[in-house]
Amino acid sequence: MSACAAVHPHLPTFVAGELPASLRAQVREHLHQCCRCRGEAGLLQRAQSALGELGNEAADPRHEAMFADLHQAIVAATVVAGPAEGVGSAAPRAVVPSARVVAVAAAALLLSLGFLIGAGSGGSAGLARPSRPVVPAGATAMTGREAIVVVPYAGPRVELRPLGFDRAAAEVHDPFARGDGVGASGLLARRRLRTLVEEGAPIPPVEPPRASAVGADSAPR
Amino acid sequence: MLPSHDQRLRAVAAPSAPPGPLALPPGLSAAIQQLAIDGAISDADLVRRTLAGEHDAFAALVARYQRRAYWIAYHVIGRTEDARDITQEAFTRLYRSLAAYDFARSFYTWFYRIVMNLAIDALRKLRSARAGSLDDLLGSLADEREASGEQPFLRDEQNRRVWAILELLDAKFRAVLVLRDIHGLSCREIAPILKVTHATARWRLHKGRQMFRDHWERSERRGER
Repeated sequence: MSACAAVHPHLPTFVAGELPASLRAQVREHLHQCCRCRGEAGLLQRAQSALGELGNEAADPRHEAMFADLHQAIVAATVVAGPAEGVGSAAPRAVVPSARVVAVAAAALLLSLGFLIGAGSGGSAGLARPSRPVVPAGATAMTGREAIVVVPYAGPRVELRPLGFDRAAAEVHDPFARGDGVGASGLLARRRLRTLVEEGAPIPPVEPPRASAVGADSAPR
Repeated sequence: MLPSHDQRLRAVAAPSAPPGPLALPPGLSAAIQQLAIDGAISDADLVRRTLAGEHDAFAALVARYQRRAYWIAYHVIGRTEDARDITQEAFTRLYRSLAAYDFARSFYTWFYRIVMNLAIDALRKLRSARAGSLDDLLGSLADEREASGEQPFLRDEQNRRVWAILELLDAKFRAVLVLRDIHGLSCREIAPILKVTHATARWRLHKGRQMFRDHWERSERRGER
């Protein structure tokens, strides 16, 4: 980078007298040697000087009468017109929350109330549910017919019962069921798992699903 | 060492006056004058007194700041009548929102921000209202100033060129140039007034000076022909 290119960006601040002392000495030294940069600095100086000259307009004494009128007009429009909010009371103004703050607080209150109500009723408060199947106390002592496992699931709750006592399964329409008692997959398949009792009790045979629910669509009309 | 804000306030309010008491508008009562020129009474004290119901305190605040507010507005908008209206509106808004003043912050920064916002808004409205060419614009400006008969110094060729160039600059660059190069505020003071960062204020100043210098060079070349 040439010396001119290094000095050029600093010229406006140099002319304005805002350059740090260390840089100022370098720029001044360069200007002594470089005619072109000196010309540029002169142009900047003339431009900034002309701009600063506008401030001298304030020295014109003919504005005095205007300022006297302006002062009267301002005082008349403010103090004489009547006190503004908070003016005339030594006590500081009470802090009034804005409408936005009130709305957010109300929304938060309603949300927390809804959450508490939902959790209390065990309805839609999904977050309050346990993450693993809950086996009621004493379930291991039960027979396979009586044991109930509540499966935590975001959808409708399902009671798992051993096969042969599966009336609920017959009442649920399973579009993937083939009608021969073999479910396809998913919730219905899980419901039919005989996971609870392997204690040797005889398990009744699988009852065929009732025609009114499963396979009703394929029934002859 | 840079002059303090109070020193600059006195200098800009009355550049020709000797250092000493702040130049005040004529016709003020003795009580208001005393409040306005007393260096021991800060702006925040005057605000407190106004809030306590002391009307003279607000009149003293007006006396302290009306010149500076007027000249800032004038250099941004370029029209005397508009500058008067902006000054009056700025003090009216100040009075209405005085109870919200944060005493931990600088009063003049807060007040100048009101003035600058009003002035920049007025400038933008003025520019959007003028659909004519730049020549028409500059011609009409010159006519208005000459017709007012109040500012014969604006007939000066150099000032006319400066005004013409300021008219070409975007409001945000013009605002920084006015505050820094005409009114002598530092970039640290300008940044909160314009509600920008210090770096942004410095960049706008640099860019604004560059643009002003380019226009000035063209203007000089045209003048030489």
